[in-house]
Amino acid sequence: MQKLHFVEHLYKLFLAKVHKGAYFPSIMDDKIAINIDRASKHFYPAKADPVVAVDNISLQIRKGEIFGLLGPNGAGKTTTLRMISTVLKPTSGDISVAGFDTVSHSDDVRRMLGFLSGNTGLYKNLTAREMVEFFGRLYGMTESELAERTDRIFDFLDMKEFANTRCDALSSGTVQKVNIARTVVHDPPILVFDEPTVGLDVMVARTLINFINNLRDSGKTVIFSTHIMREAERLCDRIGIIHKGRILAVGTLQELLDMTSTDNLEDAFFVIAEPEKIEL
Amino acid sequence: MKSRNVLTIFKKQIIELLRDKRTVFVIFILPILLYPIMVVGFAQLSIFLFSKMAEETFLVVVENERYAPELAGLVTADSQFAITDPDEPDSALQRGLIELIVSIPEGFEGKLARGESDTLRMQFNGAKERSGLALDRMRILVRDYGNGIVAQRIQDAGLDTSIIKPVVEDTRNVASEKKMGGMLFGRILALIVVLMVLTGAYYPSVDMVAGEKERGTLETLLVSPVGRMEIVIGKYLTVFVLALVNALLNLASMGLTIGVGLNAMAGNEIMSKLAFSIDIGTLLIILLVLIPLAALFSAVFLAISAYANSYKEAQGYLTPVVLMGQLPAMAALLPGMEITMGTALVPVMNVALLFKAMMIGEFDFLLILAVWLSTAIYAAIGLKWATSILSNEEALLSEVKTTPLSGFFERKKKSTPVREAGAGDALLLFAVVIALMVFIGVPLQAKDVFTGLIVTELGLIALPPLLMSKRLNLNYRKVFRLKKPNFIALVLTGLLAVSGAVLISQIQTIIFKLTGMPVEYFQMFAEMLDKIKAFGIVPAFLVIGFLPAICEEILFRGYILDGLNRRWGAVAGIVVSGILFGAFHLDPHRMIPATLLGIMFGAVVWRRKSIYYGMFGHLVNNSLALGAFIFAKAPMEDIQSTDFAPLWQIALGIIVFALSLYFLWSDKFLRNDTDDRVLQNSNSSVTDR
Repeated sequence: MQKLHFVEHLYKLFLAKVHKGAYFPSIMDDKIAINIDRASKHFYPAKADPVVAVDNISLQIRKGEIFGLLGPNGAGKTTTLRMISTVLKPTSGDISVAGFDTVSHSDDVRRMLGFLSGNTGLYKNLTAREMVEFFGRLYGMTESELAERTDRIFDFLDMKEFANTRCDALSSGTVQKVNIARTVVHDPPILVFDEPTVGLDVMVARTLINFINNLRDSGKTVIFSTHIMREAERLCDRIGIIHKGRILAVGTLQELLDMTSTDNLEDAFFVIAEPEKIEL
Repeated sequence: MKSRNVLTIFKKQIIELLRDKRTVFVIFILPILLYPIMVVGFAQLSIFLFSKMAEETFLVVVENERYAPELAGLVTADSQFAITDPDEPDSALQRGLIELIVSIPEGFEGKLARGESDTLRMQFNGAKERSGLALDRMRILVRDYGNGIVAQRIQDAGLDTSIIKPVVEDTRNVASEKKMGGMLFGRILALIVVLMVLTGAYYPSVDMVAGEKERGTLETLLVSPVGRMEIVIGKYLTVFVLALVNALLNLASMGLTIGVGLNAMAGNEIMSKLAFSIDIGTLLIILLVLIPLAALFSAVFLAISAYANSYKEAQGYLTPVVLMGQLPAMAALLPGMEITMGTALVPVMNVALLFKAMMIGEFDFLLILAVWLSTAIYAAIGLKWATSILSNEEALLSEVKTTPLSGFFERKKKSTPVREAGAGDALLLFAVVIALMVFIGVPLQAKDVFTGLIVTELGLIALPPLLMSKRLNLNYRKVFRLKKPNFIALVLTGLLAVSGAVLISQIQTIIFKLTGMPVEYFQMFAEMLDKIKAFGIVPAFLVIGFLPAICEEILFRGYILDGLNRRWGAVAGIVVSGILFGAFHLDPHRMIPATLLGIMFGAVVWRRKSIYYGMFGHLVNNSLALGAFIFAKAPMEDIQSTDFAPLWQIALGIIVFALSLYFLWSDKFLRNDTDDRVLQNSNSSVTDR
């Protein structure tokens, strides 16, 4: 295993030379959508001690799966997803998305991604349609492509009547729909959701969960973070348990339950995350 | 960088801002309304005030009217005076019920008729403005009355009136009406145009970075495939264009108001004095200069806005910056401030001064170019700053805190490790001390020199650095270099201070020879020293020699030197702390000598790692100056003498200075000193923690 890692690393270095910084793990394995290789992120706040938000994690997310990143607040979920979406650069380690390195080819990575988080906002003075179209243009879509795509999405999400309403006049449920529309406007193969249901009422949260389920059916890869066990149980093909910046376990729901000899994800989580407390 | 993305972002920002009522008001409506209201309002107000003044009637009591029927007749005939006769005129004047009491002495007009003179007493109430106006008016009346009598007497003597007025003045004003109007309005308008560019840039820059951070829209933008530079340039362009549009509308509105509004009122006698015109050429040049100014403000505001995590926070950071930006613009209002090659280098002020000159029709191509270029260079530096901050990933995400000066506002917990104060903290404290000196110290000293000086030294100079280091939980021993001095090194410092004082006074002499002797300054200085001398030798020594040596060293060779050294290294730290020490004396004539002294003490304190050398040297220097003044036979002449010291003194000074500096620097000579002190110092700093 160790040896394989070394060989893989050499190969990666070789490819990096050949392709000017980008390397293509997909050449080796076209089933991997996101490859996180020993990535860490440290923050250096002005006055406090340095914070290790993500500590040397390695993770592979396969094409077409829904992967759940489960952990409490402050576990490093958001930082991990921000590194995947190129907003933050890893302090050390490498991350590639669809074969593109997140640091050297960040533009290509962002083109492959749709990113939605609980706190991504809308431009209050733009209408729902303008908002979606603005991002479509940034993704390089032509005007005709954009018009057709926007119509389809608004139709699908049942939000045609709000298309020309300014975002600051929308209800919270519709706001989240506009956010979803914005995320998928360029039809990205990979979607990143950072605690997407935080602060949503039950109805809207359910719509969103159903929407994510639909994405799997259309062959998209989804990575999403949550601290809600039931969401992870319902949606995920595989779950990674993250705590204090480290990935402690990865597997399907059944694998995690077997591993910990428990019958629900919540118990399994505590056995994995804080074994010392369970023993007491 | 793709221009298509920049354009998409730019367009979106503009649409957003155009749909915002506040922006539309500030940028489009306000300039259109402001100038007509201001100019017309100002004109109406002054017409109103002038006419009100002309209509005013003052209540006057004329006592013993019967002795001066002719004068009383003149007063009665004047429409501005109404003669009244209250029961108690004195108290009525006190209470402001009447404006003036004119008391005519017995046989007044009879005396005058006989060719004698007499006194006319006029009582007024200086606390009432109207009473003062009444007095002025009455004096004119009495003067004319007196002149009439003089003319009569000259005529009676068979002479011509030219005998008392041999010289006839004929004054002619060469300034055109345009220039005179420009003088008045130009100053205000120059200021307003600059301020409007400032306001034009303010709101969009707050909204587009800090506001978007707060609303979570900036992160959305960061995960779309646009480059950081594309975002920064898109936003920068928006602020820049809005600031410029704002300026353009201001100019257009100003031009129209002045062209149409003012000249329409030119028929009015008062308004014709204010009327002036601006031609299209002037407006175009003003616009040309506004371009780099708008670019400068946009860059600075965007950069500062990036530090804030919310709209409110950004306003908190930007408001002081806006106020600071207004100060140089307001300098254009000061009389005597004019655009020169020197002032052309001062950002913001240069633009306001140039506009002021152009309003009165003065053009100098070279100056316009200088102002344009220097502003463009500042704008480029500002843009570089803005892009470097805005492309910092941590500044763009609201969770990561990066606040300027945050150490000052947030209290540290005792348990946290000792923080080190940096150059920013040192400069901030210096600014605070200067403000305290100007607003508290100087007025106190004007009231009472002795206690004023004591309060200033202890409370305004020594206390702030001590409080600050307590607040930041600093290691006192390290910051203030509290290390026991070595006796030999102290003697050497004394020699250095004496010889240094001799040499520095020669430099002072050179400066005076170059700049000329400021006689008034010496008189002021002498008066102050005389006051101090009056305290007696010991108290004078206390406030001039002892206290400054302790307190000023705590601030400059303690807190400030330590903070500057930490970030800028030894040489820059010592030099800058010396310059600050020079500036601290708030006295242009003492600036250079004090700076040199500051550098000298700073170097010794840094090298020998103990503040006590600075204190001792300072004490020697100040005592020397005080002693020279107290014991000299003719102190003022001594101080003012433009002669150099005798050559042997200078030569001896150089030799002593060089030798004492050499021995103070040499580690071989003072080896024991450094070795064991370093050990003790490190021990104590461990226990401090």
